[in-house]
Amino acid sequence: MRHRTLTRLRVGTLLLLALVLLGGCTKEKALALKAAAEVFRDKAVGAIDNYEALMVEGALGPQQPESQQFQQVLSDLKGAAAGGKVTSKVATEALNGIDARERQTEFVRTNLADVRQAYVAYAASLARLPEGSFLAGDAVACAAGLGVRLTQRLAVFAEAAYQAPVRYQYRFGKAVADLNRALAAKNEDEVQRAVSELIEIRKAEKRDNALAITLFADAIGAGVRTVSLAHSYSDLSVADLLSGLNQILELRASTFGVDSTKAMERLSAYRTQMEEDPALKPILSIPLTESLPACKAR
Amino acid sequence: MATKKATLDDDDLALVEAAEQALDSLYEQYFAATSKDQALLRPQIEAAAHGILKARLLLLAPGTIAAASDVTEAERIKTEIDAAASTQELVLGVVKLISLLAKF
Repeated sequence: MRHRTLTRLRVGTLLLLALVLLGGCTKEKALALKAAAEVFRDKAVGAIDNYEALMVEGALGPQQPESQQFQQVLSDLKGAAAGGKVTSKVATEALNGIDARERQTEFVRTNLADVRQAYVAYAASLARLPEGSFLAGDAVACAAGLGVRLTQRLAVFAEAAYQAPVRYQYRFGKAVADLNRALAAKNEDEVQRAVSELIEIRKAEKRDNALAITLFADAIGAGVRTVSLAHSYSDLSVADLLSGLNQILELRASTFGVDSTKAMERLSAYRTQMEEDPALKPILSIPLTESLPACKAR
Repeated sequence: MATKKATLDDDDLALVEAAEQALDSLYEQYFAATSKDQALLRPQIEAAAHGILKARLLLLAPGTIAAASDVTEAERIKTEIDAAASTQELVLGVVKLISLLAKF
């Protein structure tokens, strides 16, 4: 009984696959491209979210627990009171101090909102493909061009993350001050603790910057594959498209670890792949600040 | 300010680096300061951090943000912050740093 069910399942699967492959069904192609664009969107937005958090933590340190926030306000107000009395201005500044991280996070998010939205809009524009309402050749070509530019934008992010790695300045400054206090007090245990913390900060910086670059590299890889699918949409078989989609889905940060050098090597390979494509090469030479001629009418 | 272009520029990177070094000095002194001085420095630290985040965000945009003179100025301010003998001098250095970063 079980054997018969399995056989039926296999036959059913093979029939479905044969129908898909032989039919060259446009809807399946459209679904594959739509799915690829959604993977690209998710990876790009995820990489940007991660980098935003890294930048804010580097400049302002980790989120403080409420107990620590209370101690900070208490310390500020006592410090101010020691010089006379606490004025409303001083109290307001003390309270503002605990929201600094939140304010700067919002500042960064607002600044990158348009970039994030571009990836969401790109996937949304391809979401209508399976309905057959977005099949004009120039529209798909435009999608390929936009995909190249969105991928290029991520390459700028990756390059910035590689060349100007974020440093955990808040944690580093605190550890240096702790070390100086321990040295002045000739407290060997505290000196060693502070040095250990400095080493730990350096390791965390390397690890987290490498992760940021790896996430950008993953997103760029998904972008390159989406662009390839969109670019050769009319020439590809469904099997090719599904294979391309599988490649995207198989991309995982864990496959490559968090080595920033390896991630940059992958970026270089992606760049070469795009530069060697005769159809994509001209798009790469257009500055990101300029519109694509093919998309101006859209 | 230089004109926009498509790749990262050495001066852009150098400005972010110089500004970060200044914030390092500021944090170092902040964590060694009294509670009273810490309260005084806190808004300055946020403003300096804001400036650095702004410089980093501009680094992510496809274009040049800094000229060599901006980098020289950031390095000069860093020297002032490093050499600050009092909280007042430190705050003055930070104000200069913020003014420089506000250009971008």
